[in-house]
Amino acid sequence: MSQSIQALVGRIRSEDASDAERRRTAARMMTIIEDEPFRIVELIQAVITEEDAHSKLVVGVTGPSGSGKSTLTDAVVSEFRKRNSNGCVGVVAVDPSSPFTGGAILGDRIRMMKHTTDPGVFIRSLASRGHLGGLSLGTSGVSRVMQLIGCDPLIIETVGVGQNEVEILELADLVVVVQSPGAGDSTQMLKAGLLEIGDVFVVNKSDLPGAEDVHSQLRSMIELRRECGSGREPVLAVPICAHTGKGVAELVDLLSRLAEENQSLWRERRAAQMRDEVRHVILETATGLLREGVDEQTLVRRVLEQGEALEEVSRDLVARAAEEIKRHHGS
Amino acid sequence: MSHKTRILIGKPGLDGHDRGAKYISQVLRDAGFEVIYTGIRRTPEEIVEAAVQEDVQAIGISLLSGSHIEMFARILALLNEKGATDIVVFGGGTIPSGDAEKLKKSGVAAVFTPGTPAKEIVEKVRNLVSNS
Repeated sequence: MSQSIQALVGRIRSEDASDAERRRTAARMMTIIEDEPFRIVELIQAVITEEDAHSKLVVGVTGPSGSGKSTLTDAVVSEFRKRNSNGCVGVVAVDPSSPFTGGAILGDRIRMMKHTTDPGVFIRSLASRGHLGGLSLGTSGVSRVMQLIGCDPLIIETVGVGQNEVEILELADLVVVVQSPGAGDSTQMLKAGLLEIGDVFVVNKSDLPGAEDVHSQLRSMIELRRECGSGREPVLAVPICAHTGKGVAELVDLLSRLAEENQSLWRERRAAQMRDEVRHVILETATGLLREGVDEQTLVRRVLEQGEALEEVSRDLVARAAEEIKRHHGS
Repeated sequence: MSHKTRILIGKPGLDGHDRGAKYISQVLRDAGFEVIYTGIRRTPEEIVEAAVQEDVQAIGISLLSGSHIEMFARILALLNEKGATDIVVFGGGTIPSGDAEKLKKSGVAAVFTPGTPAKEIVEKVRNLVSNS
């Protein structure tokens, strides 16, 4: 597992690597980064001087479970491939891990199997591995590998989300929130969280009863938000039936137009994203160091049974970790 | 860090009886594996390419159609073609014991026939991937 990311990047770039080898190397790199998310830093370091290391369009697809995210993603991939037969479309799809066993069934891919043998599509399924924001810790790194092998657009599909899983905001240029009929009344539309992060809203399963209601509720929500001047102004896409493909071409038109219009704005945002990713990793790594050799139960007892101040116990923890690090890493 | 073993469960060919494939997926999930289930009626090409993209350590193939000899041979050949022979292949289903032996000789790491206890499958799979 201690393969150097830089060497793998070199292998992918190498002119004598076959297509099959390149894909396999990319897949291997994704595994490394998934298992050790902090190694995204090595990847960033390897590509940081390159202007075009980022895709022009990273779409986040999010929404409740069963709203048809995977089917919609599948249809959008088909449409993008139809429009650009030379390019490569990437899909990163996250499904939940079991909180009991850590195991997972990753099933998003089933909806997209027809793209598997298309050399212009690369799909990777990830388990959330206990992470709660709708993605996994490794998702940003895996997305970067996708972009490294030229996937553009890249589509990131979150786990089925409730109201609070909004992390996709940090990775995607455009967030598409998928809704389907039967999901609640118009009060739901006022709530903070998921509905705040959408750049594009789309009602899927438009062939089912109630779809028009959801569509008009979303329209009122967007109008209300405009009147209140509350931040991001989302766009409502035409209703879609991902299963039959109805409305999909219009959605892809919309995504492409928004990508065209916002490219310079996004470039700045991506630079900030990159700094954020590195910042995350530094803090995560520090937390890991803090935990090394610490008896967490003792800390809990000190707070609960001995009534020590939280602040004091925490400072102690940091001080002790600093000593440990000095001893072990000899700096 | 948190290394997880990823396994693809595939069902090649035309029979649509996916009870076994779903059962084994669930059993492996409950044992802590990450299982990529690719659904019914897949071609060996789809299964192998998916396994490469997902960088799984093992492929489990469920077959009830009688076409096991051909299907496994094709899958092993494709893995070879893609330079992915480190991926362990195992299988299960209605496979006569004579054929099971033949498959094992050809490079299939294990064959589980109906009635194999879940625990035995999990242990065997765990062994296979830890040696790979």
